[in-house]
Amino acid sequence: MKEVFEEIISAFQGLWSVKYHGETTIEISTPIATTTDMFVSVFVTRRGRDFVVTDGAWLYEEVYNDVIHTDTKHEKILQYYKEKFDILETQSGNRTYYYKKVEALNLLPNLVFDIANFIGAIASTNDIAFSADKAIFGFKRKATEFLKKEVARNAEDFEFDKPLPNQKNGVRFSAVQRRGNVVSVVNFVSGSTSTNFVNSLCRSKANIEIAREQRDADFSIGLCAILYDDNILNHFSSGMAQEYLDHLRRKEDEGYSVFPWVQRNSLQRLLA
Amino acid sequence: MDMPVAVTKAKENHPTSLYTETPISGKKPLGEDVFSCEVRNKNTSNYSLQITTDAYRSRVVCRLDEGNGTHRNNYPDIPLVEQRVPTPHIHTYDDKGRFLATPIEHDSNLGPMHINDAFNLFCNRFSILPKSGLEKDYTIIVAESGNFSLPQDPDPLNGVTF
Repeated sequence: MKEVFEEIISAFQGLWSVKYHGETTIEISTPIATTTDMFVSVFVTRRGRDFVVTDGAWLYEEVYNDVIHTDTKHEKILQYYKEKFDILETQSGNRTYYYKKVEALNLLPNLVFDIANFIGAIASTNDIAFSADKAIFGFKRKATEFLKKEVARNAEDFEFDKPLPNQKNGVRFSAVQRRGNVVSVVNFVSGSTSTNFVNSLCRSKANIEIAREQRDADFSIGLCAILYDDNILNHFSSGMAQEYLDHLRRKEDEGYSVFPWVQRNSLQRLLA
Repeated sequence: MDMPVAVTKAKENHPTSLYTETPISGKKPLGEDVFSCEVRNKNTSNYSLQITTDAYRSRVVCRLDEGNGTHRNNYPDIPLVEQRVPTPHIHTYDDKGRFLATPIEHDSNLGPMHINDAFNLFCNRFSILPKSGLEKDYTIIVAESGNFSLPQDPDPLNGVTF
């Protein structure tokens, strides 16, 4: 089993790399990874006799994340890890730098280890949305207004955030349209992070699958559509949301109709 | 594409970044195609160049990144050590539709890739021509409100007191 161990160690060792920034600063890319598909970098520099290890303000600058959450829960997590790792912080040029410093070279690896783990923990937990996602809320409001003002024939044409007819406690859809005995459903998809976006998309897909399974004497299922916030995709650093969208697009002949906001007029024509 | 490309305006969602976008026309357009450039922290060592289109639901067609960390191509069929892709790198789609980063050959001892070199490489790689048709006309200018001497700062910790 020695070669197994060596294969693993060799792979891990191959994840280290260094970049030189001027005379006194190096950027070390470490094997610590975030859930946002980045490897953590730390910056090492000298100040007087001290070695300083810092995140280079990358947490503040949202290098690892699409957006930085500042709600109470994320603030508590940040404080927790700061205390556990004895992290200091300083402000410069309106940016926040997290850092540790030490004089002895043989203790410098300890700091690299602590700062890298700190960054990995904060960047990954920041990917979790504990509170309501403002992007989802904002897009829901915009899409609802669009259906009400641009598509609906009258005030009763659509119901919003409702289950299918005859199903008081069923799955809720962003919009439900009933024309005679044909019921169409639309789900709105957005999210301030790629994880939230994908969660919103997957939930919509499942909802539509449930709708298409309905057998009801009173109505049949017509259009099943997903309307998604394409503008928000530009803010995501990872390609995860894109992959899920591509997957869904390949399934369109199985009953999904997927529309980016920019092509909402195509949806309008189908629902008019 | 019109040249020169001037990156001069503050980005809406990141005011510390300079940003520009300009339409691309072509014989076989994907849709409404746009070239954009973001220079983060007004530092010309830290930037992204990308093409977006309304024909793709994800919008992004390809992107070149310099200066902002090491990407992880996090797929189970890629060996761990090959998942690590430092900057500069280019994101394109592979035959499985995955938006993978691939490294650009660049000697890191020379410091970050200069934005002019990156712009040239990007235009050549993705067949972007100046309207004049002359390669010598590839020009990108990064400036802020008349300040044409933005730094290519080699040390991101310059001036920070720890």
